Amino acid sequence: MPLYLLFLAFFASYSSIVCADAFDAALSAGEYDKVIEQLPVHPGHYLHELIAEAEAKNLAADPVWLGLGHYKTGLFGGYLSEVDGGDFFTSRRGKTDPARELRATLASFFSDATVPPYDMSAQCRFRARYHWLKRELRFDPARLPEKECKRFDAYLQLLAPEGLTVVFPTTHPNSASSMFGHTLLRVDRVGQTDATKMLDYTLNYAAEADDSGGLSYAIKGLTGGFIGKFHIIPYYMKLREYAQMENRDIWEYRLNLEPETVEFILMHAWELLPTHFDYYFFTENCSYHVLSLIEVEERYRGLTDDYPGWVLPVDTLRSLERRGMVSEVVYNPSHYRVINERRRMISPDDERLAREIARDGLMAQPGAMAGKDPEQQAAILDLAYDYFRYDKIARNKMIASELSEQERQLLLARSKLAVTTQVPVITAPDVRPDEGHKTARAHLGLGSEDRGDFIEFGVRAVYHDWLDPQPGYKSHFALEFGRLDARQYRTDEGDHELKLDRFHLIRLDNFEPQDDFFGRIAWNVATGWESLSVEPSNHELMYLVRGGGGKSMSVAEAYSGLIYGLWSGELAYSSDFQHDFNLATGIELGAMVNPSSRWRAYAKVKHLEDVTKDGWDRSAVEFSQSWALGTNLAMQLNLSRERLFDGWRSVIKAGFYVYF
Amino acid sequence: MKMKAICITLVATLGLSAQVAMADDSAGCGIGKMILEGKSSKGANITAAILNDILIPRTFFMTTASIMDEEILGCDPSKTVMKDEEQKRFVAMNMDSLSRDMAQGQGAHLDALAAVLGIEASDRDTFKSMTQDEYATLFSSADTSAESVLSSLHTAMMAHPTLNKYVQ
Repeated sequence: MPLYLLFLAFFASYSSIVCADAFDAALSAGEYDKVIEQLPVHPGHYLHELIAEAEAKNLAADPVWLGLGHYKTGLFGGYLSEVDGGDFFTSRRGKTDPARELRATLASFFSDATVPPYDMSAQCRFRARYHWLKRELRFDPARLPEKECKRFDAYLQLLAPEGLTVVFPTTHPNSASSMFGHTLLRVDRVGQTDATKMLDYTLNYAAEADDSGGLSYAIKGLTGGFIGKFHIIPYYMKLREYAQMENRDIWEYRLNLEPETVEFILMHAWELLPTHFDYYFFTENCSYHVLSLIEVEERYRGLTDDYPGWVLPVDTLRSLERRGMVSEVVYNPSHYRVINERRRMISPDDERLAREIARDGLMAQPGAMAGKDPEQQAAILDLAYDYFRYDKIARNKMIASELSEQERQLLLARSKLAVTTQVPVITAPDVRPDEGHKTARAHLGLGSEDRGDFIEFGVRAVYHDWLDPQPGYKSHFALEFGRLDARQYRTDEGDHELKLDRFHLIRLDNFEPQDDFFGRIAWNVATGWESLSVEPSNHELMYLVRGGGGKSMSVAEAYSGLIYGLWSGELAYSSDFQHDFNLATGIELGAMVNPSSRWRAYAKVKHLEDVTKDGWDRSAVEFSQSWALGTNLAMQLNLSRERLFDGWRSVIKAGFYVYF
Repeated sequence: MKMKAICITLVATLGLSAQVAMADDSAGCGIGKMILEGKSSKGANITAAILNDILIPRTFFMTTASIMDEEILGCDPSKTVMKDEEQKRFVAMNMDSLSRDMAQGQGAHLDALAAVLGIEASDRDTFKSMTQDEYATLFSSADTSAESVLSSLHTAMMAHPTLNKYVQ
């Protein structure tokens, strides 16, 4: 053999040793991009075969792979993962390159390298990827040994999953982050019963931010300034938070998933728990990521594609329902409803006594119970305790689980009666939240005012107004984002004029009723542009911020009647004002009632005095009615008279409203 | 016997039936076995680590219940039985609701506790009225701890003619 061949052979084997060393070093360092780069000089490795087969099967473009990586097609083509935690990718280019991420992931399965702080090999860290790739590529255990994943096994055994339930705490107007409600996922344990479900764990996706409100909160929330993470929290803690602290009804939508699907989704949840996404209030929010977690299962792919520009929790329930994924819906009333029902069960005198006991303690009421039978005494003490605790929670803004001595005394007296409490029966509302009207709206109407007739058309992005069909929504709450109303006038002179009447960015009315015990303030806030002039040809707009606080009361409860009074203020900006700004304050009174389930009536009067020097006292009176023709179709009739900047206008109009 | 008792607690907390554990006496029971095996070494750390890092976010506990900080956050290797921790955590986090339910002789939290303790449907009413009768002992003072409530409950069940079978 010629010497140079010998030399060549030696060099070849030497360089392959060197390269194999570099390969192994990269593998044990967890640098999988390098592993891939070194692969060509390491021809016999099993990874070659796996990558070749994955490419032959085009797994990198498989919906499951794209789902596991949360890849979305970018604006200019190409892929971009929604996951923003660097630890989620095995390749440095994994966020934008699913094919490279797949190769690097396959490489990582050969490595023992652990990723701090989770101290797990890639096989254990990326459990769902491993599970799926192992099945697709039929891993040879001799050449790619399966690692033991004790922590993952413990996680799965702790959750003992059998099914999944989407939990929907309804709207919470007093919190900026939950005004549309919230969704989370409950992991239903094997053998779950009604009694044990509160012990199950939930997967809750939330922004890592304090709910402080304010402008910077809003801006960060809208632009992805917060990070969002999944957390595992016992369901009893979530029940406590929503039903007791925030007085929200909770709906549970049980999903009909196969046990293998549930397990695969939880494998993927395990992959997501340590990492994070950027949180966007309207789009990549809690409800979106509940869906993005479920859609890793091939059959549910595309769940997150149902949404135009925002994801409302209630709309995600509709998506699940529409796909036939919901097997059962369960209603849990809020603490508030339970207390109200308990109040109805006893006489007004006993109710007053309960209130006094809650306020002053049992000792301050000696002999008050004399002559009452034990059942009656029990009912009074039960209500007194509910009052006491409600008040404590309202005052502390946090549920402390500790007992106070006063509480203990009350309960001790209660236990000595040896009477079992009669549980108030609270029936679920006839219409579930997902069965109410859809949240986007468009309308077309005809009207007449002093200076001509008009055709009105308008759109609203989300959510619910007083005159929208009420079933499925709270009766004391209206919330609109992005509402635009425009009018095409035909003036008495025969001219045509298109004019923007108003464009509201946000409008929120939260009129929670007060009574002898529940003392919440009614408040509202709105901001946007409104027309300044009564002249169809005058297109001047003012930008305004409006807000008020006051009181509202429930009347004629069978008809969901509500009356309210607010002290209101309006700050408006326009160059037409003497000092550019105009401020007015005054009162607003209103009432609404449902004469029947389809019929809504609403009346309001308002008078605000100008406190700047424009002499513009804003007065308005309005009377409106609506009739629901179907879940997503309604008619409205509005009569109003109001004073704009340059004069009064009286309007009568009628229109059709569609929800979509 | 002790192992069996722990297994019962473990499995009952998971919402499984207590019979499974009893039938499975020698082999141990699922997660319980794993945790018991790891009692002195790695297993303990694994369970503690899960509770620490992933299952229970620190911030959550800091803001809601300082009472649990020691048990959950302080990775104490002697506290190895996760299910005991789960049980204690449930009681500690729901002291007020449990206290109310016991005084009233009914309620969702008391039902859950009965399930946790493995009490069969036929004995649930007996259990609930027992807690009402024993309220003064179970909550002897306002700052009673979760451990003390559980241990008083244990004692009361031991002394009870039908409920004693659940605590032997």
